[in-house]
Amino acid sequence: MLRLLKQLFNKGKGPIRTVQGFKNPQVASKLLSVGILPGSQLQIIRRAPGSYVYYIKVDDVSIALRKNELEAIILDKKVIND
Amino acid sequence: MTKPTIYLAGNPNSGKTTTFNILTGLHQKTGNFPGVTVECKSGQLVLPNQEKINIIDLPGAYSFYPTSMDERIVVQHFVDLSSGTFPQYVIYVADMLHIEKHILLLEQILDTGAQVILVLNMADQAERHGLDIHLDILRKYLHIPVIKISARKGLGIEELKNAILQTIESPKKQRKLFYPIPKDEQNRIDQLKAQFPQYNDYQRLLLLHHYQWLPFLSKDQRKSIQEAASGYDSLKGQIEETMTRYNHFLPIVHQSIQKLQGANSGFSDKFDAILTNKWVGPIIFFVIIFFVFQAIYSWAGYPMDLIDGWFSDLNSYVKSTLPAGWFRNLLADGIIAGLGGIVIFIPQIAILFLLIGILEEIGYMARAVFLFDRLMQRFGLSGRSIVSLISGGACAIPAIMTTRTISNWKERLTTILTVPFISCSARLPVYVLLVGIAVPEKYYWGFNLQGLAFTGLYTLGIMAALLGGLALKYLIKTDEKGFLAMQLPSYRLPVWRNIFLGIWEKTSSFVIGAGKIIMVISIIIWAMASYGPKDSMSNAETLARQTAQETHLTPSQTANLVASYRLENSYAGRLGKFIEPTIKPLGYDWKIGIALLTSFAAREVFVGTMSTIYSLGEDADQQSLRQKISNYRNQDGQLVFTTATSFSLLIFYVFAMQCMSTLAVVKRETNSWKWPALQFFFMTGFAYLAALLVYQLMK
Repeated sequence: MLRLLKQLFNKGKGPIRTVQGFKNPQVASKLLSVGILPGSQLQIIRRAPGSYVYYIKVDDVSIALRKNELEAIILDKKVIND
Repeated sequence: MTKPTIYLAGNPNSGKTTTFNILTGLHQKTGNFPGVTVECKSGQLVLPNQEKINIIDLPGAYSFYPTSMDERIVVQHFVDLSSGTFPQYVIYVADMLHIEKHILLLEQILDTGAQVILVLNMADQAERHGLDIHLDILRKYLHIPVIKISARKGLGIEELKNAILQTIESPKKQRKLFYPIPKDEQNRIDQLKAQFPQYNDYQRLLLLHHYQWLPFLSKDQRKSIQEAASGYDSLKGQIEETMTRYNHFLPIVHQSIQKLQGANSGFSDKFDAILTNKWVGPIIFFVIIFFVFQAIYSWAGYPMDLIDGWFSDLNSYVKSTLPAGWFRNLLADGIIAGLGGIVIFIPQIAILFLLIGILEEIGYMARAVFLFDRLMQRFGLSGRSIVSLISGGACAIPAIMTTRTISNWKERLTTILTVPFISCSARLPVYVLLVGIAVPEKYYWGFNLQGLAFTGLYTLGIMAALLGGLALKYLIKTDEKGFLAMQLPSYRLPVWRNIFLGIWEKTSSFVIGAGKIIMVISIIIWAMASYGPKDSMSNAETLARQTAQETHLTPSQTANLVASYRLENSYAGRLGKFIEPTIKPLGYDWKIGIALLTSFAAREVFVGTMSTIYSLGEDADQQSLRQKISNYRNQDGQLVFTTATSFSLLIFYVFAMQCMSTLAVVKRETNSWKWPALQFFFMTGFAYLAALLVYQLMK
């Protein structure tokens, strides 16, 4: 039961990856200012209802991003383990 | 020398407001920044040498590249050298736990030449997380005073005050810019030197980025900047600057951070696993909101009854002690009744902001924004609107004030315009009366029919708000980009000082702002209902007394009958008759017309007016009023309050914009009469059509 609950709450957690750059300059400027920078370690934690807003962790800070904002981030292919 | 003003700056969630509150205490006032509706808080601070100086709390911002009104205000302050509001002295508040995210704006501010003190807030929490910072490394890099404080616990405040004093007394010389401006940009801004001699290079660079919207620039200035900026890619420049700065300061900041133990508790993450879960999160949210409203309606009931009692006591005291005449009536029925109408809302507003303040302070509201941003976006609103829509269930006035936290202007405007559709507490007495008439107290499949009707009315209001938002989404044009990109702060215990200051501020701005208008309107309505053409008023009184004598009424019944006849012949009564043709298709007679007009001051006035018109006296209880008006027949012997009429009225009250004070607040928040006017005509027009449809179908 406990494991089932754990699974339910942690579903959708992504791997930790490094931010490489940004696709869209307009969004980039906003993301940079909230502290998402090249070299930052980014992990998707979960999605909000409607699957459009993401709960992510960037260098230990929790941030809510819309999908279009997240998609503007170029992530490194390499996965960093926990 | 004029006294200097200190400006507080920092990112959102840095604890700026808590710092501001502890520095100023109750010596603060809220206004708007000139020309815009971004809240400006100012206050007074007593320095160690007993000198008093002003502090202004700038809105939270992440950088000098703004994406919202709030952030624009900040940039504007640092590049406007013409209006004397340049922040010469700045206290920059940064969250010690995430210091590397806060240095960007700090460097930008330093590059404008301001004198800055860096305050590392949340020192107590950092300690618990096993984190410390070598202040000397930061001091050496930034060349400014750096102080650790805990605004929540009041630690380090004296040290900060001493540093302020020192900075004012011996300001530092301007050092060279942190940001080495690239060649192309340097060439461009050199062209601006002649026209902006008192600006430094970095400020000229900011002009180059922002000249299109900066309001203080003259036409000529704008034109010459435009020439200097031709072919310039501002976005690229912004990114370049941000990256260069980060590359420069990150290694130094990392060097200054000292992790004592890996003591990150992570309890926030555990809470969030449940509270922001896709399925469980919304359920918990609705449970919380349900309890908030339970609390508002059950806790506020007692103080509201008390207030009601005081004012009716005061009213009868005035009536029994002062000599009869217009002055007595104006005082008792105009002014005191008007004041009562304002004060009665205070308990609900205060309790609402107590609870919302707690949710905000502990960090939960940011999660609600996360959960509902998508849903709200579909209806042209923002995740932040959810706070306002909830508040609207108590009263639209404070709800509209909460929209100040929505950064995107279009989303904020949409929220302001749709919030009044949410059924507020002033509609409740009207619903109670009319549902009692229109819906039988019966049970179907275990459901109370009246209860269902109530639920239906509230649901209609919510739907109207959402659909209204949807309509506005396509009607309002904006060039402002909407962003979410919002930090979710760690959960923490509330700072009670912040909550109580918030309640104080919201309540007093309601009493003073909206109160004035409610007051004026209630005096006007009193005058219209008490006066009429002289002859017909006295004729009406004589006629009423005759009728009373013939039918052997008691003195109090007589007085009620006289009041009713007088009202009929007063200006209000005449106006009611005048508008009767337009409201006839909705199933209303002129008496209901009067109540519609008077309830424009505030909806709950409807019930009181109905009481007076049906000559029950103002204090008749709901039960007797309901019985009397549901059996009332007009001259032709037909029932006035048929089911169709009652439903039509209910629908009218769900949608109509019948609240002068809300309109006044909308005017204040949008800085124009256009939006409140539009809101009024749209909502009331819609209400009219809906009521018409209901009546014609049910008739």
